[in-house]
Amino acid sequence: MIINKPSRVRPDGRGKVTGELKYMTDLSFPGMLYGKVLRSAYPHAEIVSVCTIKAEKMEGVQAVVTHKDVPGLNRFGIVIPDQPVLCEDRVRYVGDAIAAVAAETEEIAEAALELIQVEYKELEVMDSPEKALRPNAQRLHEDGNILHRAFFSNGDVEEGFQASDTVFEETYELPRQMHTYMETEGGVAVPEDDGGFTMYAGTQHGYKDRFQLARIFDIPEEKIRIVSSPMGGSFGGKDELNIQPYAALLALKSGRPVKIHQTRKESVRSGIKRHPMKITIKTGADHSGNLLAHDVKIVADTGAYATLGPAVLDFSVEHAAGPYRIPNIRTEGISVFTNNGVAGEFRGFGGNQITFALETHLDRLSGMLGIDPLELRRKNIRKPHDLGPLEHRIAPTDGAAQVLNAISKSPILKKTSRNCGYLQRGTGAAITMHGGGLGFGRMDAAGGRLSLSSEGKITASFGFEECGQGILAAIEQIVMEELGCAAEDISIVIGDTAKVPKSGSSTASRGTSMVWHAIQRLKKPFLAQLKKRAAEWSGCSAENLIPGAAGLRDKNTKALVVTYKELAEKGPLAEETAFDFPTTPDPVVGGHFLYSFGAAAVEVEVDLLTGDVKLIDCEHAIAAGPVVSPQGYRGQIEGGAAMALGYTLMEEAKMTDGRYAAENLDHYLIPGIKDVPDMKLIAIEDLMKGDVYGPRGVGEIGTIAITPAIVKAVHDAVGCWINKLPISREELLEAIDRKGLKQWT
Amino acid sequence: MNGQVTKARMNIQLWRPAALDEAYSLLEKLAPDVCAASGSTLLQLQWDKGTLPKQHLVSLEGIDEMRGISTSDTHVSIGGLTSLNECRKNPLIKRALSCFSDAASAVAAPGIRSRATIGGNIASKIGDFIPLLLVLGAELIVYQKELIRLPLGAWLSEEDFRTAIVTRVIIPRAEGERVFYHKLGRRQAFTGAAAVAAGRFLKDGSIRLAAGHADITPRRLLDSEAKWMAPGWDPHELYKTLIHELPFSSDVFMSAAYRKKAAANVIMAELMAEGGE
Repeated sequence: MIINKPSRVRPDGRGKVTGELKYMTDLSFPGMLYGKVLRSAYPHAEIVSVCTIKAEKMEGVQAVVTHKDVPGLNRFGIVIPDQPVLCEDRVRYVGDAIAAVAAETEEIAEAALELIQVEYKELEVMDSPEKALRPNAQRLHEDGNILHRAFFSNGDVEEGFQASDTVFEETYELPRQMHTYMETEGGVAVPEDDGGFTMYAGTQHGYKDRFQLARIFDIPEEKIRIVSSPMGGSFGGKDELNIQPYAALLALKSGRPVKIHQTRKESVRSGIKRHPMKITIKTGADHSGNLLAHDVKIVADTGAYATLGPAVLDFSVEHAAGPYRIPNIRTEGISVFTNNGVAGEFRGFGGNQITFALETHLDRLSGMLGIDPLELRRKNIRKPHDLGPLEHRIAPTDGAAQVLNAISKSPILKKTSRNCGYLQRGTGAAITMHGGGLGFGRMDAAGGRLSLSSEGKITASFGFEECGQGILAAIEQIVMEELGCAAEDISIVIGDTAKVPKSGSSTASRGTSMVWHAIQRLKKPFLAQLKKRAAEWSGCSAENLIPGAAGLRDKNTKALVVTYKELAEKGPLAEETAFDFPTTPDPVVGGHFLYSFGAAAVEVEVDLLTGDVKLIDCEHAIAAGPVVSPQGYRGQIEGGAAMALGYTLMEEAKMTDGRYAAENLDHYLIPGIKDVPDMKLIAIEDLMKGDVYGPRGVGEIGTIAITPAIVKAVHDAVGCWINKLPISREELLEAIDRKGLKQWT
Repeated sequence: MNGQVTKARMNIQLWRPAALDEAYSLLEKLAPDVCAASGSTLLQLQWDKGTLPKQHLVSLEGIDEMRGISTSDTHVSIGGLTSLNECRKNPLIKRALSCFSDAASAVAAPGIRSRATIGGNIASKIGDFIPLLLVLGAELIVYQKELIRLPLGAWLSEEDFRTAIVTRVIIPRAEGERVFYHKLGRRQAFTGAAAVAAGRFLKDGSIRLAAGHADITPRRLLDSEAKWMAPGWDPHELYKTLIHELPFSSDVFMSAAYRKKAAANVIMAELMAEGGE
């Protein structure tokens, strides 16, 4: 990666690697109780009765709550509040909460859960979208079993297929992936004197949690304070409420702080996952490789409740043709309620599923056409001023062609060494396009504040959350670069609704981008205030002063004129801004405006004896505007790639009859360091002339193209196409055996 | 589920005998609600799954005669309380039985290796070391009112020794013989075994093969051994015999058919390398 700026140590780096840093789940308060949540024993059942008397009488138990204790709306959900905080009469998945207990110790709370008597009447389990879509299927919600439909069409696909020389159709299946953050969901609720509470728990949007909790508790939002950073990973998984309502209900009922920290098993059982999808694609092309028609059908298993399921499906539909222009396209998506856990927001947000299907499909089509797969992409790639994938206006960008050209030159794709005994190697490449921000028609407000603290620190305050992605490093870097001060002059405040302005969610690759936008808006008026005060203090002309390390300096001599500390002695000084994430001017719901682009080239090694696939080498090309924080950028791309590697090769939260097969990380496998090779990274920082939107976020773009690249490389190695993830060693070995590559098979 | 785990832990009584006879008496007296413990790593998994409702634990950690490593010209003797990490790093073992220390690198995650013991690995009857020990012709010294020396294979199959304590394993040095050991997992980093296969080409031209995986007791592959030793052995036939003989079962993550194929393949590759027909 050649980036023209020095690497820096991230502000929270030392605390994290030494273990000094306190997460919300590390906090303790005087008189604190421990909470546990009773989850459903069945994936689908009526609740006949709940009796908590024995638990309430148990020594050491201080509070037991059921749905009767919820003062306001007994529901939550970012888009549609359809998930019961505590179920009244029905459970729809094994993570549904029925009661919660606060006790003097965690062990007592656990033992008390066993004393709560719940009588169930089991109902048929809708364990697949197909089953839930049957005409006579039991309705999981009042409106039926369809959460959401999404549709897009342009041109006439039937005409396109008729004009095509080659038409190819295939169905691709994607698994349920778990976020597997190191820190499981947890935190402490502390009751306050005014009848409200402070919630110390990780989330990706503190103000959204406050809104949802105010609705549940039927109290003004101002009575709830959310302290939510730092957290030990989220990847979308802590965007929705998790333990907060239970800790707060127990805290208010007992009058004491209550801590809940889920075990990994509890996290597996109750936490959201990536949507399993089945995607059928039919694509037509002429003999030259021009794509003429593209018909896509997506079926998503959204589980028991909505959370961000509708938006995930919209994203998949939007990205069905990726960075390619296809004149005739029709995409239909359906997101179906089942009794399989809850699927929702997850890094990549529907892009991973559709891009695997699309890119693999194009690789297979290129084989049929006899055209080099990258050449097929080049023929159909979008041009800088083309409309977006929903035929809507977007910020002009040449990112697609840039990453395609860059990855085409990867040394990985030129490797010729292929076989070593029973190990066979192959290479592959794929590209992707990814919208940032929430999309048109969705509340996507951002904002920030610059102030001078009484200690003389330039204080950058944002409503963003530090979930490991490095937002603190990004804020520090942007403030330093844009204001000209030193890192030592800056303090950063995030993750506390009592202290920060609204910035929107730390999701959708929007954090870094919105910090940059905010500072662009704030720097001029903030510096003007600083200079005015400095001019008054020093007698110098404001025009001759510039910000620098420690204070304002003489523009010509660079000599320090007045320190920030001295300026702070004159009283507070602040500038605040509020604005919206840039959106398309066209009223296309969910349509994005700013896109980033990614490409990956990989080499894999396939073991002909075991069907094991090992990633040997990997290079990324990313076009997402200027790099803000070099290590943060690399970390996001490499981390995203490791996550995608897991998605491709091993991760699946398998469910049988609505129950998770793996309850812990001994059977739900994620990649270890031995699975992840060193990676190379090409960062393409150029933007189109006149582009005023600055750096795009890179939280998701590195986690998408690598999957189809691996699948292509496997085909290159052993001639077998994969249409289902994670790649099954068993199925691959069978396919290898059919080819008779060994003397004994 | 969690309640059961904690309750089990809260109520467990821990015994710390200093001698074998004392430990054995406790295990007899407290049966069936008792379990012997050394590194307790397997017990940890059983606790976590709620499948270990034992009321008493008898720690073997204070029994000195279960410690120590020694070698002779023909054998290596390893005390049952020796950690897997020690098996991997000990210079005596490395020098006298490198195949064993190499295999220790594939058994358990690094953190587990520092607690888990070779005695526990064997006593569990599902340990990943067992196939290797079987092909090496290892013997055990177990305590059951008295010290008894017997072949590992007998220990695995005979019910009479169900309550015996594994005090020591005695392993022939297998010098000048090629030994292979493969542990198949589900990723490059450590995982529980999908299959374990081991083999030894003896100086007299014979072979020993054994296999197992985390949920079953490993065993020798006698039919396959015989097939290989027969003159003019046919790779297709031997592969079929292996598939038939490999003692694997299915779980939700992996089928028995896959385990058999993969293990048979790695064994076949070794046999072909040794001298395929």
